[in-house]
Amino acid sequence: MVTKLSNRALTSPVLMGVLFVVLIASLYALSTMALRLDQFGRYYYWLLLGNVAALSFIAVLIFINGWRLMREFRERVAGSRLTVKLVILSVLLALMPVTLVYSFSIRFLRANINSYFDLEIEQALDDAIELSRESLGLQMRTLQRDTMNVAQQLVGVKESVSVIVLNTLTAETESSEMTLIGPDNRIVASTGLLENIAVQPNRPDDDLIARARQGLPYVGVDPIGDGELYIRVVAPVFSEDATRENSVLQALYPIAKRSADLAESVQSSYQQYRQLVFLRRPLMLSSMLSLSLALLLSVMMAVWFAFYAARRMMMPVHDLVQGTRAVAEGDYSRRIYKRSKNDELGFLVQSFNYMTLQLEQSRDSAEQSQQQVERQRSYLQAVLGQISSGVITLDADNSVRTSNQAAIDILGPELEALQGSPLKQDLQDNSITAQFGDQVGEFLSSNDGTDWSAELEVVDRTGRRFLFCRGASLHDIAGEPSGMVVVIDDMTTIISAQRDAAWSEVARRLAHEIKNPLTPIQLSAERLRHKLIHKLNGDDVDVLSRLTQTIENQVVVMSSMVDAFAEYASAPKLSLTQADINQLLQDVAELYRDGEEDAKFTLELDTQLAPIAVDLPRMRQLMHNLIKNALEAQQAVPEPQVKILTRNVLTNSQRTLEIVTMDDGPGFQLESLSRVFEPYVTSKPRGTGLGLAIVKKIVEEHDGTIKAENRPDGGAMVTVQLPYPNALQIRGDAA
Amino acid sequence: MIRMHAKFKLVVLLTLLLCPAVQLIAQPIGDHGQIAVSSAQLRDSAGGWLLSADAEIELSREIRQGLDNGVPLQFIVDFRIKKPRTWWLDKVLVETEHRFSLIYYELTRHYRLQSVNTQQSRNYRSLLAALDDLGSIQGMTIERPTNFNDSGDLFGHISVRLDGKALPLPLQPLLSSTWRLASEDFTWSLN
Repeated sequence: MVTKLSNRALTSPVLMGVLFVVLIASLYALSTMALRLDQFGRYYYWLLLGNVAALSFIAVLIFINGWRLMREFRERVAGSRLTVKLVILSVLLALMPVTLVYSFSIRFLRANINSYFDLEIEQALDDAIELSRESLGLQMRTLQRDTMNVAQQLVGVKESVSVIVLNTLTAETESSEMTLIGPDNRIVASTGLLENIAVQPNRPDDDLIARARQGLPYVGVDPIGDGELYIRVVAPVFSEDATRENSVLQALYPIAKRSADLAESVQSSYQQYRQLVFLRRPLMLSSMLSLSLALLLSVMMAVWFAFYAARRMMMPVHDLVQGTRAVAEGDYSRRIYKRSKNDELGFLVQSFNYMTLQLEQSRDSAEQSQQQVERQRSYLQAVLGQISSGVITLDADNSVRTSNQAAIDILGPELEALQGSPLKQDLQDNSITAQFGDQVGEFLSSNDGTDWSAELEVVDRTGRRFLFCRGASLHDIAGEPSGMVVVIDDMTTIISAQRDAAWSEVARRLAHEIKNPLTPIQLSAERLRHKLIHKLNGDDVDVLSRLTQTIENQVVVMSSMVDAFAEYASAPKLSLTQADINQLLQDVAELYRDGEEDAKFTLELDTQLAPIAVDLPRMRQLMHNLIKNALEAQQAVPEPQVKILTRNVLTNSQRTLEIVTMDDGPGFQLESLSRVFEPYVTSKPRGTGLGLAIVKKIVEEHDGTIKAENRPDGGAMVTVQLPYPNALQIRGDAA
Repeated sequence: MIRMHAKFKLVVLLTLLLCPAVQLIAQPIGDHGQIAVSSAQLRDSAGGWLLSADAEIELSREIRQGLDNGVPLQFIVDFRIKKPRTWWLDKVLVETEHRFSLIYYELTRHYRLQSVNTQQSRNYRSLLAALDDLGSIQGMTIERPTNFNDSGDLFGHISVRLDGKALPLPLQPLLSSTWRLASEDFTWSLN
C-alpha cells in the first residue's frame, strides 16, 4: 500500500502539481502573516509545520527517486546513465538562478526591513514623547504649586473641620479630587470623588505617601481607572506638632481631553514603533524563513521535475533498449507503448514495433513450415514404423541416416549404433548388420543411380535367414544422387511357410500314393509264402520265409511312416478345453521318469499360470515330441538332462504362456537351424524327422509360435509361446 | 539493505545532534525568568469558592526588554480541581482560566495590569510592584459547577504561565524557550 502510494506520488505529475500549488499558497500565507504584527497567528505555526512536513515528504520522495536512480545506475539499467546526466544538468540549471535570486532577495529583505527603522524617525518619536512629557510637566509644576498652597492652608486645621476646609479649598482649584491622609495613614477627608471610578477615593501608593510625609512631594501623570490620564500631586501637610507625623494631601487634576488624546496618540505610535524595533530581528528571521522555505520548495520542485522529466524523456529509450534486448533473446512479441506521437522517438518506437511485427510474422511462418515438415516427418516415421519391411535411408556417403523399427528388428540392434556411420564397415563381429553391410556393399559402391534388388542370406543364432533387398537412389533438387533408400523384407518365414506347405503336400501325396499299394504288397507276400512254402524244401523254405518276412516288415515300417506323414499332413479339428499346462507337463514328464533313458528331469513351473484352452491330445503329443526330441539329442551324453520351464511373458503387448525345453546335447547344427521344423531335417540317427515338424504344426494350430536356438552354454533350446485369449486370464493379475 | 540502514542511522544521528544545537543557538545568554507558586488555598463561598494563591513571578531580561518596548504580556492563572483515579488519568471536575494583561506605558512610565475576565485594571509605577500584585491572588472567584460532586479525594491544581500564543508572532516560542515562562503545577489536597 505504502509502496503503491509512493510510486503513485513519484510518477503522478497531477498529484505533485496539486501539492506544489498548495505549498505555494501556504507559503504565501506564511510570508503575509510574518509581516503582520497584529495578527496573532493562531494558524501560523500549523501552516509552518504543515509546510515543513510537506517539504519533508517531497524530500523523501526525491531521496527515493535519487536512490532508485543510483541503484539503476549501479545495476547498469538501460537508460540510467543518460537519466543521471539529465537530472544533474536540470538540477544545476535550476539551482543557479534560484540561488542567485535567493541571495539578492536576502540582501533586499535586510535592506528593506532596516529601512523601516530610520534613525530620524526614532529620534522624532523620542522627541515627541519628551515633548508630551514637557508639556505635561509645565502643567504639573503649576498644579504642584497650587496643591502645595492648599497643603499649606491645611496646616493646623483640625480633623473635624478638615472636610469643610478641604471642600472650600478644592473649589478654588481645578482639582477633580482631593484626599487628605492623616498621620495614622487613614483618609481624613476627601472631596469631589472622581466619577465613574469608585465610591472610594483614589489612594496613592504607600511609597508615595511615605515619601510625602518626609516632605518630598510627588507629581506625575498617572492613568486612573481605564487609563484616563490624571495629574497626581502628593504633597506633605506639615504638622505643627513636631512629634506628630505629617499628613499627606493628594490632588488629582484631569488633563484636558485634547491633550490627553494627543498624548495617547504619541504614546501609541511610540509604543508601536518601539515594538517594531524590538521585533526587527525576529521579523527578519521569520521573513528569511519564509523566503528559505520558498527557495527550498523551488529547488525541490526543480529537482523533482528534473527526475520526472528525465524519466519521462528516457522512458521511450528505456523501452527501446528493453525491446531490443528482448528481440535479441528471441522474444518478438514485445511491443513498445508509443508515448509520444510526433517526435523522433515516437517514430523510432513505431519503426521498432513494425520491425518486431515483421520478425514475429517471419518467425511464425518459419515455425509453421517447420511444424509442417515435422508433422510430415512424424507421419512418415509412423508409416515406416508400422510396415513390416525394413527401410534404411543412406546419404551420399552411404552413411545410415534413418532406419525404421522393422529394419532394426530384421538386422538387429547393431543397426541403431550405425546411425550417421557408413553401413559398410569392416566389422569384426558376426552380426546380421555386418553380414548385411558386407553383402550390399557392392551395390552401394556402384551406385550409378539405378535401382537394384538382391536376395541375401545371413546366419544368426536362430539359423539361416533370407532377406530380399531393393535399393533405390535418391536425388536432390538439382537431380544429383543424394543417397539411397534400401527396403528389406525378411523372407525366412515366407520361405519356411512355402516349404511347410510343399512338405504337407508331399506328405499328403505320399500317404495317399504309398498307403494304397502297401496292403496288396503285404497280402501278396503273405500269399506268396503260403502258396510256395509247401512246395519248397530245405533251404528254400528258409529263404522264402525270410524274404516274405522282410517284405512284411518293411511294409509295416512304410505303413507307420505313411501314418506319420498322414498325421503331419492332416488338419484335424481342434477340440479346445481349459487345461492346466503345468499339470499336463508333469503328467507327460512322469512317463519318462525312470525310463530306459535314465534322464534327469528338472521342472521349473510358474505357479501363476492361468488355465489355457488347448486340444489336450495334440498338446500332450507336443510335449511328448519335445521331451522325446530332447532325450534323443542326448544319446551320446552320459548324464542327460531335460529342463522344462513355464512362465508368463509379455510379447508385443500380448500375454503369452511360454514353454521352454532345454537339453545338454550338442545343439542344432547352425546350417540347418532355420529348417529344424521341416520334415526330415534331423541330425539324429533315429526317428522319422517329423517330431519337431509336428510340434510346429500343433503350435501353429494353437496360434502360437515356436523358436529353436542353441544355448550360449551349450545344448538346444526350444521355446513355445501360446497366447492367452485375453490378458485377464492370467491368475493374479485380475486380483 | 544494510547500506540503506546505515544511511538511515546517519540521518537520525545528524538530526539528534542538530536538535540540541538549534536549542543552544536559540537560548539567550543572560538571566532566566521563572514563576513559582508558593502557596494556594480555596475557601467556600456562596455559589463557589474563593481562590487565594501566592506566586513569585520573575521575568527574564529578554521579556523585560520586550515589555519595556511595548510588547504586551498575557498571564494565565490556570486552576483545576481533579479527582485521582487508579489506572487512569485524573478526572477534572473544575477547570477555570483567568487572564491578566500587563503593558508598559512609556509616556507616563508606568505599568498597567488588567484582568481580562473582569476588565478591572491597576497601574503601577514599577514592574516589581505590578508583578507582586499579579502574583498575589486574593479572593479569585471560582464558580461551582451544577453537577459538582465533592466526595472522595480532591486536589487543587494551580499554575501561572505566560501565554505564548498571545505574543506577537515573531516572538512566539516554537524552538526557543526565551519567551516560555510557566510555573510548575502547585497541587494541594482540598479535603
